[in-house]
Amino acid sequence: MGLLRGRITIKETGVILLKENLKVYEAIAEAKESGKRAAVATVIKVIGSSYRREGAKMFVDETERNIGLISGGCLESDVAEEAKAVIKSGKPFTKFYDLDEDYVWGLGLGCPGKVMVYIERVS
Amino acid sequence: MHNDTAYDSWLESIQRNEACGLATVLHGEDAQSFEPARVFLNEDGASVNTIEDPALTEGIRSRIAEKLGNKNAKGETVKIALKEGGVASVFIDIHHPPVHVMIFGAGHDAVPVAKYSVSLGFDTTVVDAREAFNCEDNFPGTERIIVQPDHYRKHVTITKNTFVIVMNHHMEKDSKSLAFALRSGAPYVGVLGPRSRREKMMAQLHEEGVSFSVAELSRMHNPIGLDIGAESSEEIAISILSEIIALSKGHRGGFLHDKHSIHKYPSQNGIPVRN
Repeated sequence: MGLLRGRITIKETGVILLKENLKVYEAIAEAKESGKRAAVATVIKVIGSSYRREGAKMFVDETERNIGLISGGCLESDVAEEAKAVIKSGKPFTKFYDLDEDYVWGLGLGCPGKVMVYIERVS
Repeated sequence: MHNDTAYDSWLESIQRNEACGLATVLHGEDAQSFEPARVFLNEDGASVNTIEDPALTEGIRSRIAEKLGNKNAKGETVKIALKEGGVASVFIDIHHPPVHVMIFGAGHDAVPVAKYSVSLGFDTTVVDAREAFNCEDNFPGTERIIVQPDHYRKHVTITKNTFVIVMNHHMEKDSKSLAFALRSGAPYVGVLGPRSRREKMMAQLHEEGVSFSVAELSRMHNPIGLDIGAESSEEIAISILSEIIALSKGHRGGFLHDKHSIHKYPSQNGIPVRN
């Protein structure tokens, strides 16, 4: 009886969605389309506690735009540096980080543990 | 740039909201080639690979398939033995499609449920025919479907990623929502209200000739939520969404205190043991 309005679509609300990896995948797709060179760093192994787990990703492109987190903020700048080299050479690279638990918690960084990160060019 | 077909399939599959896996052979320092060696597999069994060794491809594919059968599965670096000796280090990445929460009923107590659901990053839908309640002002960031219960079938789409919450505060509407949701592929159908009310609804449905299989009923959760003593509508929303988070990851809820491992849960074939 005229009650069927069907679908009302989602409006943009500026809500920050916690779908970090989806943002990374979008960025990769964009980079591929625009022909920009880009690398992705992926957490491939975690020993001990860590803020992000295996599969967490960070995107870096040739303009040094970063998207996504692979730790609680401790490793991102170092990984971004490594990613620049990977973008240039095309050679994938594995880096092992060993963060001392007492030391890192003491700094309030909240990302202790041993973390292995694989950085590869994806575009 | 290289032609990375398996990676392209992975990105496309994620865009289609499919559960899928991508395995990448990790290149060592002495690698001869930098071309990515990968195996992609999705939930329907579609597969793309850029690995030359067929035995290794098969070994990897079965490891991904195993993970896709388990909703608690996580990314992992595995070692796979090679026929000619030695081992390959392979990272298996797993994508679980995002949780979709669908709330039947746009009453005042649905407001915090939708609010927390949206802030958790869940796609959120509110289904209620009352436009004055089911509006953007009350449910920002959600999809709203204005529809009467008799027309659910035509206008409401429930997928295997849809966690349903039935909270119309109206016996007949709840009963219709419940019947609709139990017939769908939803992995979770939470029903607000006491057990006695649910039993009354089920008895009525039975009288009307509507009955459900054991498998259909196994997805029903009532009383809804985790047992945290929730009283206010905000607390109840937290209790409901905690239950959804736990189930979507194959966990059981409860306290972490003194547990040795935070992220691992001993689920069998992805199904958490239920009481």
